[in-house]
Formats: sequence, C-alpha cells, structure tokens
Amino acid sequence: MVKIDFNQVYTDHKEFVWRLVSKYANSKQDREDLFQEVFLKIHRALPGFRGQAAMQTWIYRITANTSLSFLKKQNTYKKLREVLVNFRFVEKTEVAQDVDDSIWQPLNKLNPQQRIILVMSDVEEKKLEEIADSLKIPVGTVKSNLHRAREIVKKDLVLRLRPDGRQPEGDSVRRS
Amino acid sequence: MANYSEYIDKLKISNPPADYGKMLANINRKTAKQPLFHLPQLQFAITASLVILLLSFGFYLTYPINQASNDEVLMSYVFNGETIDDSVLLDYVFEN
Repeated sequence: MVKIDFNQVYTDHKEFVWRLVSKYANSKQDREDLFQEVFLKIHRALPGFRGQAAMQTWIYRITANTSLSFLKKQNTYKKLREVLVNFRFVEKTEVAQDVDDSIWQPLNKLNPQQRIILVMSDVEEKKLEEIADSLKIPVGTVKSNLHRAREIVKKDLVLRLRPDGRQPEGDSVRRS
Repeated sequence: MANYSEYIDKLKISNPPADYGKMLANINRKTAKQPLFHLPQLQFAITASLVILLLSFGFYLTYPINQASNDEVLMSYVFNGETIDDSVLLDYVFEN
C-alpha cells in the first residue's frame, strides 16, 4: 500500500475544505475549529484510506459528517446556554456573538441537518443521492429536509426585505 | 438578497480569508501530542491487557477477604471448634 503524506493532502485540499466549512460555520473561530477538526480526522483516517473512492470524495464525506456533528454540538451548547440564561445562572451579555457576516443569518434559521443538506444541494450542487450517501441517510429524508430548508430561507429573505426595513427578530432561534 | 437564487449565488462566491499556516501548525501540534496511540493497535491491546491483568492480580492479593485468619471473630468459628462450643448464640440455635 502506498503511504500517503498528510502534508501533501493538506496542501492539495486545504482550500477545498476551507470553502466547505465556511458555509457551515459562521464565525472565524468556529470556521478555524471546524477546519482543524476535519484535518485531524483526515490525519487519523489516512492510514486506512484504501483509495476505492477518489481522495476528494473521501475528504468531502469526512467534512460533511464532521460539520454536521460540529453544528449539532454547537446547537446543543446554545440551547443549554439559553436555559442557563433563563434561570439566571449566567449573564445574557456573556453569550458569544458568533455571526460576523449577515450573509449567514438566513442559514442560521436552519437546524444542522437542514443547513448541511441545503448547502450541499444548492451551493455545492451535489445530487440528492450523493448527499444521502455522504450523510448515510435515506434520499427521502434529504428531499424533505431540503424542501423545508428552502422554505425557511426564502421566508427569512422575504422578511429581511420588509418595507419598514426592520430585520426579523430572534435570529438566534433555530427551527427544528 | 432580492431572492433565493441571488442569495445562493452570494453563498457560492463567498470565501473568507484563511491562515492555512497557523492552522497547519495547530494540527501538527495536536497530532504530535499522542505518543501512546502511535503504538499499533495489536501492540496497544496486548499492553492494555497485561496492565489490566497485573492490576487485577494486585487487587486480588491485597483484598481484605483473602486475608482471613484465626484472629478474626468471623473466621474463628471456622477454625476453632471450641469457639463453637462456647457460643451462647449457637447453643440457643442447636438446642431448639
């Protein structure tokens, strides 16, 4: 078996992975954390890479699944934080502002799975079967999540263009 | 963001700047910090089994129940017949 050099993999695919994680994480810190987590997984899994799939496809799967776990963890943390704020265990001002660009705000309305599926389908232009295969879920689940995600984003975009110019409230609230 | 397709186009072209050198340094630091897991899996499993076996044996030798002797009240009933004869409690049991 040919030994694959991690540094070479990093050099060849770093921009591809960065482009993907940029769509899944909002803040600079989250993007960097997620990017590093993806490459740590690649580093651990590289000795077992047999080359049945193309390297980029393999990396794409790792990135998608790592991003999904990352977003789920973040979602849980945010919910927990909201509970702690409600019970006044922590100050509301301590909540980190994690959105550094308004472009991500409509995506923040989605739950982790909807967000990943919408980005994979409409931004990365992957086929439904590829998405289902990468995330190990049925095609029907991909379809229903994609449909719901598009509806939520479209609705949010319309609200952002209201004539009174007011932004919709509750940007931090995610829909399930 | 007039409509959905415009929004998606914006997402497609967005590409925040990245410090690849700094992130690679962080990754290298994290991957270099785990010498234990550099052992091959089989070697690691054998080492772990031996450690568990040694710890179990040590625990077995020092566990108090294995150090019973005549001097203990409970074990004296086993080793000393006369203790049984003198026992008021046992007399009561057997006489009934």
